[in-house]
Amino acid sequence: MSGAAGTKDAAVRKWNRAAGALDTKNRGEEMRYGPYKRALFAKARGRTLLVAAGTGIDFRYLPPGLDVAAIDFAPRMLALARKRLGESASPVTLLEADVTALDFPDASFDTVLTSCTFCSVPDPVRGLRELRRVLKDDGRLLMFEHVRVSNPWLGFMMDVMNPLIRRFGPDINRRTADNVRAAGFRIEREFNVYLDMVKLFEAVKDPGWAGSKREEP
Amino acid sequence: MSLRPPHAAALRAFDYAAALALGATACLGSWWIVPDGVPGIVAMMLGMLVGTLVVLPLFALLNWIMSGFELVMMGMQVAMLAGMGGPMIMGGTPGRVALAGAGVGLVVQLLLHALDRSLHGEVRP
Repeated sequence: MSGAAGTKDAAVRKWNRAAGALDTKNRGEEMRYGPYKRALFAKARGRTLLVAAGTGIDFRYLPPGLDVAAIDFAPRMLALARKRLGESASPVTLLEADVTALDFPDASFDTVLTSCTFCSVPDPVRGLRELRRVLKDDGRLLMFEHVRVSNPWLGFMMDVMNPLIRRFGPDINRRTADNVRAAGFRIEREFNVYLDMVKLFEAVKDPGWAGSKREEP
Repeated sequence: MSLRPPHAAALRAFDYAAALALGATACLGSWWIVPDGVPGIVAMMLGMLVGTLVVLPLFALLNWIMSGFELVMMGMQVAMLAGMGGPMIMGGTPGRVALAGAGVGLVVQLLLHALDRSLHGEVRP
């Protein structure tokens, strides 16, 4: 087993374990951040990929008129999400998949949605590059994410606490905006929900990204 | 855009009450547990550790009631700072120590609230 595969397997085990209690734990977060997610997801159009569907708690924010593929790498999460399919205003197909190795063809989605996803993906830039691959050239990446804060003291505290917190949950000190740019996206809009820790991002493919030239044959 | 949740004021009140409770608990815990006579800097470090540990059950309960990154960020600061301050209080009564800890919680939450107000919204490039 490669190191990357081992990391992924550990992440799958962790999130399978967490699945049962996740909705109870996230009840307050849904009250606090639900309106922001709803406004962000309202911008989705056409064929849409929802990454890390989790227990399906975000299905209620999906607007009508979409054709949604919702993926997660934790089977127990998908089992819980299956019970929530009726909460979505658009049809949702659930798939077990790893965001760093998607089976979808290139340019197959108009919109990609993430919701507290890239705090948990073991290799976030690789996952974001895969999203870039499956997103159409005029597609949009819409993200609700928590990231490392810019305040030096608070950021330091997040770095100190992260090794403990990541044992049970997500990484709390990811530099997701940098990762999004490193994966070949241009961030068109950034909105701070709480401090500059909980954020909305709207990004498009950066046509001038150096990596895109290397991808061409 | 104005997207404040429907019960924003109640959520904010909960965060302030949580800050007071966490501060009082951390300060009382470290005041009781860290022995007298420990040199100042060691007592502060021990207090920080003890403060963080003693608030964990209360933090878990508060997080279960109304989770949020607001609670996580505030809880980390309050537990460490109020815990650090506990062993520095010479004498005093449990009531006064709890009040001092609650004061730390209030100040931390006020600062975070002010920082959030200054950062909330569109990020200008």
